[in-house]
Amino acid sequence: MTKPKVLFVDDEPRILDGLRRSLRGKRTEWDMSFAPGGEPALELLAGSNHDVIVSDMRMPGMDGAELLTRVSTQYPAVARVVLSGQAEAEAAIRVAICGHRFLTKPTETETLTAVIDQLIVKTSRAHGTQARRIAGTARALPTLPEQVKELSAALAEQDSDASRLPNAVALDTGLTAKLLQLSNSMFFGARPKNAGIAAVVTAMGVPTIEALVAATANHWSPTTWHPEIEAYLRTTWRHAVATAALVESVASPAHRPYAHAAALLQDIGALAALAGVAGGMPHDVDLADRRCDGVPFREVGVELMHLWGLPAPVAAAVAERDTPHEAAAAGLGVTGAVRIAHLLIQRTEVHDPADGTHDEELQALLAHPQMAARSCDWTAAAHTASERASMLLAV
Amino acid sequence: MAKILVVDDDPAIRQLLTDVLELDGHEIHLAVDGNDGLRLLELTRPDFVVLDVMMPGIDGYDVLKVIRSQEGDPLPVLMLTASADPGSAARGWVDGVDYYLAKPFTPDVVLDIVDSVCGQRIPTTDGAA
Repeated sequence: MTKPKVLFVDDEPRILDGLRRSLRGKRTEWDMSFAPGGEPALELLAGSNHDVIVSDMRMPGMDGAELLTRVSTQYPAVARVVLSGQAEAEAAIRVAICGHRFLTKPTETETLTAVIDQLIVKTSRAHGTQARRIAGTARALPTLPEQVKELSAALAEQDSDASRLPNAVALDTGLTAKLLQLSNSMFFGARPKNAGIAAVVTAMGVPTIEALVAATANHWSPTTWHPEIEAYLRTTWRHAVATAALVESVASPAHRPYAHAAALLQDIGALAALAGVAGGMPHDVDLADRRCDGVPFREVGVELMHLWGLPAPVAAAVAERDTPHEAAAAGLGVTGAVRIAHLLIQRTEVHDPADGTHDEELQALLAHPQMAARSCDWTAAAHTASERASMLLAV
Repeated sequence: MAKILVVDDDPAIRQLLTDVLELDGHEIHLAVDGNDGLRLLELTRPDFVVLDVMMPGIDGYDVLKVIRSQEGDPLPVLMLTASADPGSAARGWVDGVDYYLAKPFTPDVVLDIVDSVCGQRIPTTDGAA
């Protein structure tokens, strides 16, 4: 088997020498190359298939953001790591859109090697590189025009109504995913533990959110959508928002933040694949079969969550959403809660062909002590959540 | 790795959990009763709490009540009980535990729970649509 290929890019020779020295121990495992700038890096990438690129941000000529943006379109299967000193806000936002992981200089060798080793692993057993290539083209996820409007309004009213912004963010799949990705990095401020999206919004601050909304809005162009794709996105979003609302009561207290995020991101693979379509990428999307170039949307989504380093419980719950769940006696966890909420919401959607095929599983899950102890009419709760989601977006 | 607070008046359980969790690289803090638990909760700021139900003085439910009244994102709590008493389990779920386990338990179950909550597991998908 050939060794994974890792490319390091920095304009300072001393930094490259330092990396070469400190990573000597990985020579038997990785095939490493070093480039003094963006142009030579692209030449090396053209020469052979790489797995991971680690780039500095501030470089003369082509900077890190430009290099990684080019890599995302020309070599989307290459995982993109930013390794940089403190950056100005504007540059940080640019790189936040095109990078997968973010490390600050100086970074301990163990941290750097752990991140690279993680990114060498591909999550899809059946379509490893294919799933990575599709996921790697996505820099930001599409957001519906209504959501952009609500976010802008919430940002404008930040001073008079501080709770409106977290609420608006908590309904936006693309922004939630981006914030969870960035909150995992010291680069964009300290990371709150086990953080719900409200905590992340507070930790990052309004100016960062504002800049991110503006930057990601450029990736959403509703006029280019095929009507079928737009209808699909709306149905998907409605299901996600309804599931997220319901899972707040299904999940146990500590699991609520991640369960909410997982419910909202459950179809992140479809969004990633369709973001590619809007950007003109020649993907072969099959909406009925939920595949892109033959790769199930779910596998694209899990690979993207892995690239972005989203919290493991969130990624696991999304990976398992369509897998019949056998609840552990000790508790449902994030995965079980999301599966239950998904099935309950699915039953409120008559048009779904899968409707009604998981009755036995759902009955068993609802009989779990965690659910049974709280005497709640879960079907009624599902209908309420479903209707509210429909009202938020007339589907 | 996670910082774990174990609150249990039974020294055998404290020893057992220390052995398995430390072997997995976690940092363990031990409290011998509810009072001690509340003190260490403040002092150590754990990522995960293992909490016995039946303790002299302040019991597990009382400690849980304090944990759930704290500001910020809620702390994951695994509650341990001496018997498989359905009434006690129901109270735990209503009061807001995240996991509930009857003694005797297999230490692997605890390891697996801690890993699923605090670990860096990479998910896999197998191609089934």
